[in-house]
Amino acid sequence: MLLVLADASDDVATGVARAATGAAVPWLWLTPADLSAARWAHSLLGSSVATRVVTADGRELDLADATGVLNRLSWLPPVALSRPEDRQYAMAEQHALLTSVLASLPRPVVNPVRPPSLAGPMLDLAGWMAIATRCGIPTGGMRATTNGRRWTAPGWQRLPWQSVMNPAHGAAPPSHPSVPTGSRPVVWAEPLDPGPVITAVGTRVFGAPDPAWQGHARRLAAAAGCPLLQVTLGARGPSWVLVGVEPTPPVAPPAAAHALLGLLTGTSPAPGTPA
Amino acid sequence: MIVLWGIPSEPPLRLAIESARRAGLEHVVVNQRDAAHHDLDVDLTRRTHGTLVVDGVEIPLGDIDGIYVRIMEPDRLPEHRPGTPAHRIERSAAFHAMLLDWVEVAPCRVANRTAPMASNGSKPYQAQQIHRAGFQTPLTLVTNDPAEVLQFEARHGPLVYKSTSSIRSIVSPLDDRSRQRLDRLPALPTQFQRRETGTDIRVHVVGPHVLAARVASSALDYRYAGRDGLDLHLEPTQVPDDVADRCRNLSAALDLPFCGIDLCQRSDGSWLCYEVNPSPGYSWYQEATGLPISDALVAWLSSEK
Repeated sequence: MLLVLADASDDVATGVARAATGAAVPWLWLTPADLSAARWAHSLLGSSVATRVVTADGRELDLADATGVLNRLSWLPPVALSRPEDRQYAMAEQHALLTSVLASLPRPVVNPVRPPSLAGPMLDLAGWMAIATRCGIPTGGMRATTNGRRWTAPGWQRLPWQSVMNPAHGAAPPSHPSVPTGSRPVVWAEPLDPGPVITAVGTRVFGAPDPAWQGHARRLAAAAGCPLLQVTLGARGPSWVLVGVEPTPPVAPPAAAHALLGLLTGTSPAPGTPA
Repeated sequence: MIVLWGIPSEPPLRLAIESARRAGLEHVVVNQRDAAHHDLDVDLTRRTHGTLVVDGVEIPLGDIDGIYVRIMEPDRLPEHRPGTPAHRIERSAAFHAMLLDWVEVAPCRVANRTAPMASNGSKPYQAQQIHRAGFQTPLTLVTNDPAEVLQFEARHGPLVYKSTSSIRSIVSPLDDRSRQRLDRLPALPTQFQRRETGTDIRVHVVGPHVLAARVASSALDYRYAGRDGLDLHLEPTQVPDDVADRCRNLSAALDLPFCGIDLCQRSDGSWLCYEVNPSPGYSWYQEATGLPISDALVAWLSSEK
């Protein structure tokens, strides 16, 4: 049985569930509310780690029986408790439990847990740029400064620093181009034209503009330990550079859903596996 | 050049500063509370290209050999309280975010980077890593089902319970009083462990260095012995070579070159690991035992990589 952990409205999970139905692969979808309402018994006895879950409607699962897990939840939503400090504590405790559960499963989990996130690494754009650079992948130019007067980049775009330096992609205050930066913090970004969006699923790559970018996307996914990864490119003249990465893409091409199903059921190789 | 980042009066950072001074090491103290007055420029595609500016002194990022990060959450700083001019809070927040970002991928020695520290956010997750590194871990059950707890207790003996996450909690015994409250358990899964007996040993790993302290206390959670009026005595000790090696391996596996490892030596001589603290408040142990932890820390930060 394929286990899907996702919000009820998750498009990527819906695509995979449809593909599973079409392939007669049994699946079970648990939402954050289902996870919160379930009874859990997660035991660690030396090298033996086991998890039993009983859902609110009485279904009993031994998670070792899952053939794969598609996890679309990076975080669990706040628990409905009256005191804010209790809500925060309860959320951290549930998150800690699910972190350990997902890390213990013997079959593929996409994307794998990587604390503090439940689904892949929690990196901001700056962090992704660093991994890409290490992998030899061309990236758009980007410079951060706490003082826009100290370090200027004429002709470059001004981005709110919170949109680049915040792993949670927190809301950045609006920054109108006519307002001078002065000594405020800023990230300068090389001006680029929009480019294609690539989706990597294991060793399969969809939407790459050329074979080189197929390889780049695979390498980045493998380096990040993220079988599912979406990469946004920008155009620098005739060539492409990386400008964005999303390990939990909100949408994916239909073919990616079938590739994901293959990855989760063991019929498609994971990153790092020779194709 | 090493960078010591935090609040200089806070004991772990204060001891590191004193050690750096004593050893004559070139160092800069980045006072977290002055963050709105520091500057940082960094090229996000070439991480050695950039400049840290502290008290008007410009430090090329490529000149930094090591950095000790001992900061508190910026939002909890007095300088971030309501009433502070918004531009100052923004400057301070940006400095923290940008320097943390750089630290995460900096080519120098770092104690410690942020991402690996997150392993402590889930104690059972970390226990799985600890077990893989060769240590036994306490038999553990995380559950919100009272019947499971009672079965686990019947099978494995007396239990303690504590938080599953890194939010600090006092280790407490599952006794008659807490058993009466098990009906509240369905609201939230809780971590139960078999109660272990033996000698508590706290090991600090600093790169290749292993510094151990033996803890003698009648308290279940010795960190709170003073509060509860119970006895507590710490003294330096040495752990066997194979245990020291396992500690080094664990530190490397968790990518935490500076960490505090809580061990228990059972009466049968076997060793068990409770957990690994990724930002150890080592000053308490150093001041009680004389172990030269801060000396080892600054020496490691400034050593050749």
